[in-house]
Amino acid sequence: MSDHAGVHVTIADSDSSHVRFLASLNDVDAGVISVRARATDRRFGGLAKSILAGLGKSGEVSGVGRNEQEDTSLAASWLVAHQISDLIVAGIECLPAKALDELVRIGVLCRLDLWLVGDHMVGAHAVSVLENWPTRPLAQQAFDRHWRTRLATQDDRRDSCATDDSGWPSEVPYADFPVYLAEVHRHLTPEHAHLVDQHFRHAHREAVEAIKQVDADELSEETVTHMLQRLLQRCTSQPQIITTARAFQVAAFRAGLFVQVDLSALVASRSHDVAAVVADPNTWRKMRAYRQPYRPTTCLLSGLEVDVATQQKLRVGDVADSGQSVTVEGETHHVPEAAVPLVRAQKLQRLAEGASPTDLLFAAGSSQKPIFYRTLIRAADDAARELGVILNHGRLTRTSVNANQWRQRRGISIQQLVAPREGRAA
Amino acid sequence: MTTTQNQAPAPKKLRHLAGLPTNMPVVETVAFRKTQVVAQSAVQFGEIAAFIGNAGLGKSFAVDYAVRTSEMPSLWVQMGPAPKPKEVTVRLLNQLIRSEPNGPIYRLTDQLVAELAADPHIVVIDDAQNLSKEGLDQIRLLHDLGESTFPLFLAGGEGCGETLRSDPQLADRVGGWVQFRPLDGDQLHSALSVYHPFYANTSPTLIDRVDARYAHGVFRRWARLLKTALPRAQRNGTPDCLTETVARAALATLVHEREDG
Repeated sequence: MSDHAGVHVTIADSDSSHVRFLASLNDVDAGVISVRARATDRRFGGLAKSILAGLGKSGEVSGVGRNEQEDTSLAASWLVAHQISDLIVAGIECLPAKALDELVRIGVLCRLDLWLVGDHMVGAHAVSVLENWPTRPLAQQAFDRHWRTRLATQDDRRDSCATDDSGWPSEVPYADFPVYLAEVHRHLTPEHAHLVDQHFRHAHREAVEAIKQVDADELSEETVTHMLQRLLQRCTSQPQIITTARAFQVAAFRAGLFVQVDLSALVASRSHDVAAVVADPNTWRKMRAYRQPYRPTTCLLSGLEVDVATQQKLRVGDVADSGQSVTVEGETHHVPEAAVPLVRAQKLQRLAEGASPTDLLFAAGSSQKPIFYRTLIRAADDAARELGVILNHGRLTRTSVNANQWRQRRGISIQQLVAPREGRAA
Repeated sequence: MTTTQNQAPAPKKLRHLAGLPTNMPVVETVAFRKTQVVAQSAVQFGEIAAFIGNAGLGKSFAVDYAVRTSEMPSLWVQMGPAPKPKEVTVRLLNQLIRSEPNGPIYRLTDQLVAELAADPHIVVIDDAQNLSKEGLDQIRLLHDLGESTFPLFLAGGEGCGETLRSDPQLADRVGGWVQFRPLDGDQLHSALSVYHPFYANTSPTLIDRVDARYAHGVFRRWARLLKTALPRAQRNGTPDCLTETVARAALATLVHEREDG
């Protein structure tokens, strides 16, 4: 079997079990999409819908749409965003010549291995189309053998993926920051204490580095709040959020800042819940249901506490080509691995629509029409209602939260203990 | 075009000809028994099964019995002439969700497949010989997309059998075939004896003559004859069996009926 992307053509004497076998090959995570053409697919747009369905797009959620041209464009963007390597299309004898030609063209553009399967036949029209492309005929036996082996590999990979067990204790001491680590070592098991200790030191190092980056004169309450916000954003559990807060307090104290944290208020804010949802790969698997990539992208940014007004100002170039990060007002936000294809799809779709890196990220169509504020807000509400994915602290207002409000909601206050120049000792 | 939805698993009123005495037995011909076996397998494995035979040979009766004795609910649709794929889909969906579905064929197909996956039903397409190639392709697609979550029964006349067999895509997916043929000889006599004592008491020679003249092994015609002959036999004073006189009188109306259409 060639390692190069290409077009393979097989005529299969499919019975019901072979049909099921072909359908079972669909696995987005493994980079394989397997779909069946329909006799009612008069144009490629119909097949594009099937490809989107294979990629996990649901017809039951918002943003389904009927625009075949849009479906074709989105199908290509999603195939590339998910790094799909193989596209299997069965029943190609149903496809009109133009649709088949479009399929091969998209396969080549997206650099896929395209596996075309005729059900007992391919018509003369299909032969005349395929003659224009470098294709490789493949006997059914060879096709089946290749994919049974591949399927076994995919199954092995799924079985070996262990669920992530962070090993964190369910609770940590509510001790104040000067004695926090001592209390951790006193009350927790050695294993748990070690884990918490390591996290504390790591968070402390990050906080110290962040404080060092800022001039003493610019070390305002707002700046400090922002630093703490970034650190707490990554915390997905109550013990993590408490440990990180205490570590930050130590670093801030050494820099002449007294950061008070009401742990009960901090925990009650449930921001670790949202962070946990953002960090959970299942969240982004659910979000694959959306055909329009702006939806999961805006939800992710909301989960990272980027308010909608700020999102609307983002540019296409603010998203890394890999989709692994988004730069917001000079600050880089890392995208959780499972969400990377979704964010990448938004960038790819915008580029496909003719946008340049300086054009708005949240816009649509070749007219570059901005997506409205309310539309972005509604996307988060739709995700909560339709998929049970809540990435907005339960509040439906989307006005920008200032630093003071953010601190108040979390029971945090900041006082300058010494003059800024004197405080920068550590 | 008649449609029937059966949601109760226990057999109640079977598809006997209207007007016959109550509690008519089920005559288990070879084709009938084969139907039960093939249907059971199709239900168990979500397969396609084909039941082929001309009108009146007991095909619908046998399939109906198999469906009624299955624990799975069913959708029974009788096809008109050359329905388009959308009509086929809409009529099935209409029965299933009890409302008028609307939308493009793509979405309706997905909706039907999703509904059947969530709540599997035996899908019976009667008069499948009326389906064009397009209609058969749509039926096949529904079953393919459903990935065998629901069994599909295709019942139709001889034309249906030829169509299915000549379409390799569908023929290779059919897991079981049952061919219904006219009864003759000992099979006919045996079946009629079980059917009603009236026939059990009738001379085999007369049975053969009536069959040659009128019934030609078509069980529905024997049922029709029974319905017509029983009251005449009562009036004639020979209630226990078919006689020459009663046969002649009954056939006078039935043969006339046959010539009309």
